[in-house]
Order: sequence, then C-alpha cells, then structure tokens
Amino acid sequence: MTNLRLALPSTGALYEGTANLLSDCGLGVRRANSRRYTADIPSLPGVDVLYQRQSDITIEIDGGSADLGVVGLDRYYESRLEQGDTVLIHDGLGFGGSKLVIAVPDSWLDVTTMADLADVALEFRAKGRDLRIASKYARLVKRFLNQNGVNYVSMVHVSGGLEAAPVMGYADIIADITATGTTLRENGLRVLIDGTVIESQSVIVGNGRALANYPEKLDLTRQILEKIEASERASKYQRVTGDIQGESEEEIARQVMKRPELGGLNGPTISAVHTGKRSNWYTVQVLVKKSDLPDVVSHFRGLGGIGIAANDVQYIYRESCESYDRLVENLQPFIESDG
Amino acid sequence: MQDVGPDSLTKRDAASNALRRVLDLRGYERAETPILEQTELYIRKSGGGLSSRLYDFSEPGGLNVSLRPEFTAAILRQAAERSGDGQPVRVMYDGPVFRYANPDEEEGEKTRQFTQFGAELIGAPAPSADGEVIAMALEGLDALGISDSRIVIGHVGVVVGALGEFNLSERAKLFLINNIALLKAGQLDSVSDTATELGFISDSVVDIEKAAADRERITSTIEQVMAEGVGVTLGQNTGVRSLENIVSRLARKMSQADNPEDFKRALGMLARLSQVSGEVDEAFDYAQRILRETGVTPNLITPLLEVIDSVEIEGISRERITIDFGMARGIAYYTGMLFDLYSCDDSYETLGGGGRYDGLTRALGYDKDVPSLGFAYNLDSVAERARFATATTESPETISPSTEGSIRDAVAKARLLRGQGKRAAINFNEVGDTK
Repeated sequence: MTNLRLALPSTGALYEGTANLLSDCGLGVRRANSRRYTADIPSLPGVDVLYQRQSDITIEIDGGSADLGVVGLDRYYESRLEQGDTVLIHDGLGFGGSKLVIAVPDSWLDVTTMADLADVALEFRAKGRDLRIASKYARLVKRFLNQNGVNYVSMVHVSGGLEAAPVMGYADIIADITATGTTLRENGLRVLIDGTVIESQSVIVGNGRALANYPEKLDLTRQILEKIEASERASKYQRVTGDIQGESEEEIARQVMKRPELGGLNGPTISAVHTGKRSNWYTVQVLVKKSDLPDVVSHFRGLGGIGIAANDVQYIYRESCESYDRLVENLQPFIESDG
Repeated sequence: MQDVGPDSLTKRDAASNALRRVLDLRGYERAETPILEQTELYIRKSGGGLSSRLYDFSEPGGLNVSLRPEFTAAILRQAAERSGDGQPVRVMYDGPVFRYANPDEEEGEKTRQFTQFGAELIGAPAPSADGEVIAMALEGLDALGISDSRIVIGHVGVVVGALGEFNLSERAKLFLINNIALLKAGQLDSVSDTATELGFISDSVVDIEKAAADRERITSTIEQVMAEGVGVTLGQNTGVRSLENIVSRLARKMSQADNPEDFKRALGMLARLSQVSGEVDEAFDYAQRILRETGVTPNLITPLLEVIDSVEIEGISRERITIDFGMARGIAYYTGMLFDLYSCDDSYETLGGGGRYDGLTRALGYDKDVPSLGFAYNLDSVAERARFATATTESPETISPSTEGSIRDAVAKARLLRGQGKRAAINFNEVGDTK
C-alpha cells in the first residue's frame, strides 16, 4: 500500500483548524458526508484521509495504521511510545492552542500554588488517603506532580466531563485542557498559579518507518509540508504594487531603497509602463510584511506613486522546505537496508 | 539499560573489592536491600527530582512497588530495626539502582541503570563524623588510583541559617533553596519572575493594593466562617476537605505571609552567596563579606569551617577541597554538609557524592531524628577510571580434543591444569576421537 494514510482529528477545535489549514493551502479535503470516516484530497491524489479520535491518532501512527497525522502536542507527548516509530514533523501549526492545567475547587482558598498542593497532599496522607486527581493525561500529569513534590496522589481515569469530578466526588482535583479557563471557572474550579503542565498546539507527526521506506509516501508528505510552510509564510506577507514616475529604473530603485526595510522580501521589481506614448512611469512591486503595509503605502505616496494596490499571496517558497529537510534527517535511523 | 561485558565486569569487581577493603578497615559492614520496594519508601524520601524518575508499577498483588533508585532509605530502615545499643552503625552496600531518564530533558542522556557503591554512618553527629565520611570517600578514590579527582563541599545548614535571618516563612525559604542552582547559574531575573508570579514579590502598587484587598476579603471570610459556622459562607463544594481545615490552613498561610522587602533582600543575598566557590580560605573570606554586607551574622558559616577542620584531622589537606556555597538540595531532611566528587578529565563527570541527612529518619516515619550521613560512588564511572594494578586475568588455555586425541584426554588435561589453579577451557568444536 503506497497511498499516504493521513489521520485527522474527527471533532473539536482541531477538526476545524485542520480543515481550514488544508483548504488555505489548496489541499481541501473532500468528505462525502460528515458521517464518513474516510475522505480524500482532490488536489493531491494518493492521500487517504482517515478521521479519528484525537486521543487515538498518536497510537495509530505508532502502530503503523496511519502514516501521518495532525494531533495536539499534549496528546503526542502523552501517548507516544519511547523509542517507538513516531516522529514529530511540524512543531506548531498555529491553531488548537491550549494548556493542560491543574485546577482545584475554588473553595480551596488556601491552595494557590503547587507548593500548597504538595502540602495538602501530605495532610491527606496523614489522614490515610491519597489526593485523587482526574485527568485524561496520566503520564504527563503524574510526572508534573512528582516534579513539584506532590507525591501522594492517585490518578482517576475519566473519559469525559472531567470538570464535574470534584463535585461528583470521585476526584479531589483535576488536570484538564483549557483554552480560556471559562469552563473551569463555571464549574467552580480554579487554576493554580504555577499549575501549567504543558502548553500545546496542533502539530504534525508521522510514522518514521513508513516514511523512510516508502518513497511515494515521503514524496506526498513533502508536497503537504511544502504547501503548509509556503502558505504559512505567505500569510504574513502582501504584494504591493504602485506606479511611480522617474528618470529610469535605477533612479526609481534608488528612491524606493531609501527605506531599505520597505524594499520587500527580495528587493523591488521595477518595470516600465508602456502607454504607447513616451512615458516615464514605472510599476514597482514589493513583497512586504502585512504589518509594514501602511508604511509602504505612505512611502510610495511620498514618491508620487499612484494606483497603489495590495494583494494577498498564496504561497512563498524558499530554496528548501525546512520541516521536510529536518524530517529527512530524522528518518535516518528508520531506513531499512535490504541487506 | 545496557549489558555489561566481561571486561567492564572485571574492572567493576576489582574496584568494589578495593573499596570494600578501604571501608572494612574503618569498621563498615556489608548489607543488602531488596531491588523492589514499596513505592511509599521512596516517595517519603525523595524530593521532586527523584520521585519523577521512579520506575513504579503495581505488582500482581496490587501493591505499588518501585525499582530502587538509591539505597539510603532502605539501609536506614534496616539499621533502625537492628540497632539499639547507642553505638553508631556503619554500613556499606553496592548494587544496581534504576532511575528513569526522560529523553526530552537534560537528564535524558543518563544511563537508567547504574551501579552504586556507598556507605552510611548512622547515629553519628556533626562535625567529626563528617570528616570520617568525606575522608573515606577520598581514600576510596586514592585506593583506585584516581588521583585527579576533585571534591566540592557545601553546607545546607549554612544556607538555611543565613536565610533564617530574614524572617521568612518555611515556604519562602524552601522556594529559595529549591532555586539555588538557577541563582548559581546567574539566572536571578528568571527566579525573580517566578517569585513575583507566586506572590513573594509585589512589583507594582496595583499588586500591593490587590494583595491588601485579597487579604481583607479573606480575613472577613474567615471571621464570617468563625462567627456563623461552617458551610454558610462559602456554600460550595469543598470535596473531602472540611471548611475548618481550609480556613485554618489559610489563616496559617496568611500569618506566615512574607514581607516582600525581606524576601527581596534574602533573594539578593542568596544570589551573591550561591556564586561563591573556590579554594577554602578565599571562599570563606568572600562568603563572610557577603553575609556582613547583607546584614547576616558572618559567623553563621562556622559549621562548614568545623567540617573542613574535621576533614583535616583525617589527614586530608585543604588544598584538595573546593568550597561551594551554591550547593544545596531542596529536600528538607538534608541538614548539614554536602559534597560531590568529580573527575578532573575533560568529561568532568560526577563520580559520586554524599551528605548529612539528620532529618531523614523522621521523614521515613520514625519518631525521632537520628544524626546520619553517607555517600555513594557511581561505581561504573569510578571503575572505568580506576588505574590500579588489576590482577590481569589471562585468557584461559584452550584445549582441543583433536590435539589431545579425544574428548576424554582433553577433559583430563583441563582438570589437571585447574587442579594447579590455572584456567583451562575445552574447544568442543574441534572434536578428536569420540571415545
């Protein structure tokens, strides 16, 4: 099987974010209907999209039933197998930002820091019980608690509705994902000041063994990474054009480059405007950061520019694709020789 | 974890034999403890550093157990159950220990299983017993021919004592000691940021006003709870904790609230003190100057001076010693001197270390403090560097049945050689006459 199996989150913020990211990159997913768990990408034949639960994606990739996937960094760290086959390919797609935090009942006025929590855990111990914490992230949370001196804990595994655990009584505190903290507050919970276990966002992970040994899969991965990276870069830039009058191309270039920081990513492109009559108008084109746009417009105006227009750019490519180059390096240990 | 081949094992055995002889002359006796213990034993003892590296799991019977990450806790338990005549107990031990190393963190480079060789001196107070243990740790290295090693000595008691002059809460002192490594590395700004976040320092007027308002709100809540009874005021879920418990802990915490100015002065003092390290006399002069300048009694460093004296009594010259005031382990039961042994080659590897832990027996659940101290080598590192004349083990003589005529003859010759104390092995692949 040489199709690239791409696992995407089937629900939630990461579902939306991934759909938007891919369609912004010209890699829109075609899904027959929302109940189907498979789909494809018409502009990139050879990719099978598999919609899966976020918590399963790392494990699926590790086990080789998917080759590439989008997942939260927190999930990746929680589920990956050490010395397993999964490699981190893109370390931040810019959406799905969230934090895994330790939260206590708001009524625990005396507990504001991890040091307080360590203290309370000791008090619990003295009464012969452990502090019970509900979380879907047993590995990360236990380690974090231990590192902060909270040793007497027992992990309670809950699959949904964590926020209710302290009220329902099956845990004392929780560790959960939050983007804004609102849900926690509404459920009478408060985040500890230094209680952030990990800050997360969406990332791309892949099965190193599959990518290292199936050139077709690696090539499809490269095409996806190229587009994501180029589109991500392009989203920060705009192309500005304007007509400016001057003696010659060189003269215009000199004028524009008086503000070198506004001269564009690779310097201005200048070409003569052919009006049929003798004319000394030139079209100047620069690729600039969106944040510099107002400055560029005033600069062009200052040079007598007219017809100034700005356009979004879809892709900006560099000499090479960073995340792909890094991936190729990380795949070395997975290459199987035919012996 | 890794396999150990015959070459390394030979070195390791030779090293542990030599070390046993050194410790035996001082009256230390060997002890062994289980590799698998109830996790409880280690989380009682460990600070955050070690407990997050435990290999813990539940055994088939449901009990939570861990591979041992170190020996001290178990040795101390054994000694506590054995001793009773008031004499100090001297114990040495060696064997594998297990510490998980997270590949994403600095510790990831470390080997997860290594061999410790160590000793504990239980029931012996500072400072003279400190001299014995430090001198013994150096004698061991000398016996192995590792002369280019360095010993760095610090003292938790001195640091805690200095912090004690700033009128701080236990919580604030623990925070400062836990951050001493960062301060030593010159990261005062990052420690200040964390301290501000945790409320030890208020930087702006707004913060101060907010803190005052919080305090007022909390005080009135406490008063209200006291007056109207529990459950009325908060009316919220508090889980298994009672409101009395929350309120009394809160009241205690507030009564111990630190004055931000005191905290800042203590932080400033520690940031400077933690940087002091070097040759004994110079380091002492410099540390005393810092203490004087920051309003701390300079003779607080006396306990460390006494430790150095006790080491000199043991015949160790102070030129071999480096003092480091930035050494501290943020674990409550470390009470006195601490030391680390380093190799002086390029790797600058830690060969071992030790310290005094008078508070450990209590942390382990016994009802009194027993003044105790100990140290351990990383036996694998030490053995690799040993330069003493190892009894060179010659390869065994190989006897071939084809040369001897038959297997019977070959075996007979081998037995003869072994009878003379020589090593002999048979090459069964070269078969002669099978009779």
